[in-house]
Amino acid sequence: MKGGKFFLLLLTLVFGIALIFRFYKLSEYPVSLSMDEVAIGYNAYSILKTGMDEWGVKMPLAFRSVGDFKPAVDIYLTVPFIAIFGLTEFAVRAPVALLGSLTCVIIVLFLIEMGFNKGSSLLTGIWFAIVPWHVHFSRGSFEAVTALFFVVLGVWTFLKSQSAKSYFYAFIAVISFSLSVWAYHAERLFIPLFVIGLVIVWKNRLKFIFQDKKKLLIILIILLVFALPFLHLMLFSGAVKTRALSTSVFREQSLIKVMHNGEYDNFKQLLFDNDYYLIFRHIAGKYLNYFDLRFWFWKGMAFTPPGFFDSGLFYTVDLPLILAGIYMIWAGKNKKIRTLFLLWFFLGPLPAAFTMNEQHPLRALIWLPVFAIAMASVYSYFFSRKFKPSILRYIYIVLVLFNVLYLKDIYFRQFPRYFSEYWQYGYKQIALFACQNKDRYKNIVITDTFGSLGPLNTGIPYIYVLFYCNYDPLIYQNRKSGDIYNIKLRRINWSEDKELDNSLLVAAPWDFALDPPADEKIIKTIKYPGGTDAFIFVETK
Amino acid sequence: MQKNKRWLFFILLILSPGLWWPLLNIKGIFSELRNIPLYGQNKINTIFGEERIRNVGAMRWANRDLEKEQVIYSKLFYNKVSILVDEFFSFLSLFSPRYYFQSGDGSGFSPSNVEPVPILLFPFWLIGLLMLVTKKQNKVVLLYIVTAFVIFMTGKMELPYVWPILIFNVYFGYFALKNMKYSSKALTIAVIIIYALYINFRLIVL
Repeated sequence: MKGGKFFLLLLTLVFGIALIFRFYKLSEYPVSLSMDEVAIGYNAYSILKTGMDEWGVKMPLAFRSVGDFKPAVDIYLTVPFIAIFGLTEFAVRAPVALLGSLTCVIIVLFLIEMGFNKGSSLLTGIWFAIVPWHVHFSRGSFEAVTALFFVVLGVWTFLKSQSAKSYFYAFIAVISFSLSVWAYHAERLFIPLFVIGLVIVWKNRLKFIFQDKKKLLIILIILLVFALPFLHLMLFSGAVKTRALSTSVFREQSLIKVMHNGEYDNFKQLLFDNDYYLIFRHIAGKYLNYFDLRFWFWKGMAFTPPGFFDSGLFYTVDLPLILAGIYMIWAGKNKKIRTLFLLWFFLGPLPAAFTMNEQHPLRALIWLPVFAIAMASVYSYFFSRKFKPSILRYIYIVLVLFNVLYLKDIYFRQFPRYFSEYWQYGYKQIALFACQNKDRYKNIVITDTFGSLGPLNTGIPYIYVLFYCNYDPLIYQNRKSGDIYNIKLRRINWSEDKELDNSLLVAAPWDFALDPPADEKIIKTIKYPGGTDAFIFVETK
Repeated sequence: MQKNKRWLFFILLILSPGLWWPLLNIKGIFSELRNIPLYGQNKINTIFGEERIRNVGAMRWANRDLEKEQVIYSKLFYNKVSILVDEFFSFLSLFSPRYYFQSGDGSGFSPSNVEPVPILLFPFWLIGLLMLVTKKQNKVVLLYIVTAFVIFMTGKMELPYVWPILIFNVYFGYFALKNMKYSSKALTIAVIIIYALYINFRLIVL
C-alpha cells in the first residue's frame, strides 16, 4: 500500500474512533436532552417546516429561543438531520457529534501543517478522539464544539494558505474563523485577538495575499459578508448583548459587592480602590483558576459532586506527557510552533474568565488544541526509536485503556446518578405522557420547579412538550395563549389545584408534602437515575 | 540590567505583599507553626478518613448493575489507591497560581484585597519554571517540589506555611525576567514594579 493511501487509512481510523466515542448510545447519554438541546431541535424543526423560528421570525441570524438568543449555526446545521431522522434526540445530537469527530481529523492535518511528523499527528488525533473534555461536549449538542471545529479548520487553512501561497485556503480560513464567531460566544472575544496574533507572527509569509488585488478584494468581501450582519446584531439588536450580559462576570455578587460604580468617597478610594482595578483583579482570579492541574487531570469535568472521584479534562495518565510536551515546545527549535502555542495557551481561557462561574470547561473549550500541540510534541519523541525504555510506551497504552474504562464508568453510571436533574431528566417522560393522555383530562399542569433536594431548579417544560409532541410550529407561532393543547406550564399550588376538575398535576413530591394525596390518586412516578423520586403524577377528582 | 541582577529579585520579594504582611502577625505565626506536628498527624489520619471511605463505597454501589453485579470491576476503580491519587492532586493544588497571584488564603495571615505576589509576574513565573528546566537547573525545581510536599504533609494551606513556595514563585518570575531576551524588557520590569508598588500602597492605605 502506498504511503498516501496508508495515511488515509489511518486518518479514517482516527475518524472511526472519534465516531465510536461520540455516537455510542448518543441518544441515551447524557441522560436527557438539556433545555438548550430541545430548543435547538425544535427551532430547527420550525425552520424546516415553516422557514421561521418558534417566535415566527423568518430565518433569524440569532434565535431568541428561551430568551437567550442562541447562535444560529448549530440550529441551521441541525435542520437536515431533523429532515432525515425526524424530531428525535439522535437528530439533535448528531450534527455536533459529527463535527466533533471531524475536528479530530482536522487536528491531524493541522499538526502536520505545523511541522509535526505524520505518526505523532495521527496519534494525537486518536488522543483528541478520546479525550474526555471533547468527547462529552461533542455528545451534548454544545455550540462550543461546532465553533472549535471552525477554529481548528481556520488555523489549518490559514497555515496551509501561507505555505502553499493559496488564495483558496485563505478564503476557507476567513470563512471558518467567521463561522466560529457566529457559532459560539467565547469565540467572539478569542478570534479577533488570536487572528491578530497569527497575522503578526506570519506577516512575512502572508505578503502574497497583497499580490492579487482582485482576490484580496474577495477576501475582504467574504469578511464583510460575515462581519456586517454580526455588527448589525451587536449594535442594533439585543441578540449579542443579551447573551453577553446574562453570563457576564459583572453579574457576580462577589464583584458587585465591592464595586463603587464610579461613586468614590474620596480621592484615596478613587486611586486605590478603583473599579477598574477591582474588575481586573476579579477577572484575573478567574483566569488563573484555569491553570490548575487538579482541574485539568482529576476534577475538571465535574461529573460527580465534590468529594467523589471524577474525571479531569484529560486522562490522569496524560499528566506527565502534557507537562513534558509543554516543556518540549518551549525548549524546541521551532519558533513558530512556540509562538503559536504561547499565544493560544495564554489567550485560551480568557473568554471564559470574562463570564460567571469558576472553571467552566465548556467556555474554555477553545483552549483544547493547545494541549493537542503539546501531546503531538511529546508523542513525536515518546513513540520514536530514540525513546528508551520502550516498555513505558506499553505501560502508557495500558493505563490509557484503564482510564478509558474508568471514564466509561464515571460517564455512564456515576454522572447520570448525580446530575440527571441538571439535564432536566423527567421532562421527556412527562411530555410524552401528557401528549398521549391529553384527551383524558380537562387540564394537565406541569411544574417548572423541581429538584431532588427541594425547589432548587427551574425548567422550561413548554419546549419539551413542543418537541416530544411534535407540535405543529405554525400553530405555535400563531398561538394566542401560553398553553399548549390543554397543558398548563407552571408550578402547582396543591391546596388550590386539588379542587380542579378532572385534571392531572405533575410536580415534584415536595409540592404535595403538606397534604399528601391518597395513593390511588398517584398514577405514575418518575425517579431520577440516582433512585430518588423526581416527579409524581396526581389525578384530581 | 545584566549587572544588576539580584536587586530585581530582592525588589520583587519586598514588593510581594504575601511576604511581608504575615510578619505583622509574627506571634500568630509562631503559635501556628508550633502546631505543625499535630496538624501533620491529623493530615495522615484523615487520608483514609471515614467520609472518604464512605464515598468510595457509594461509588462502588452505583456501579452495581441491577442484572449482574460487577463488584470486582467496581473495586478496580474505586479503592484506597484512588484515594491516594486524589491526595496527589490535592498536593498538586499547591502549585495552582491563583492562590499566589490573586486570592491568597483569605485568613488574617493573607494580605486583604491584594494578591500575595503581583499578578503581572504570573506569565514570567510559568516561563521561568520552563527556563529553569531548559537550563538544567533541576535542583531548584526539585527543591521546589520537595518543599511543597513537606508543606502539603502539614495539611495546612495558610500563607505562613506556604511562605517558602511564595519565595520560589517570585524567584521563577525573576529568573524569566532576567534571562528572557526581548526589546522592551526594561519597560516590562518597570510596569511590574509600578504595579507592585500600587498594590502595596493599596494594602497600606485602605
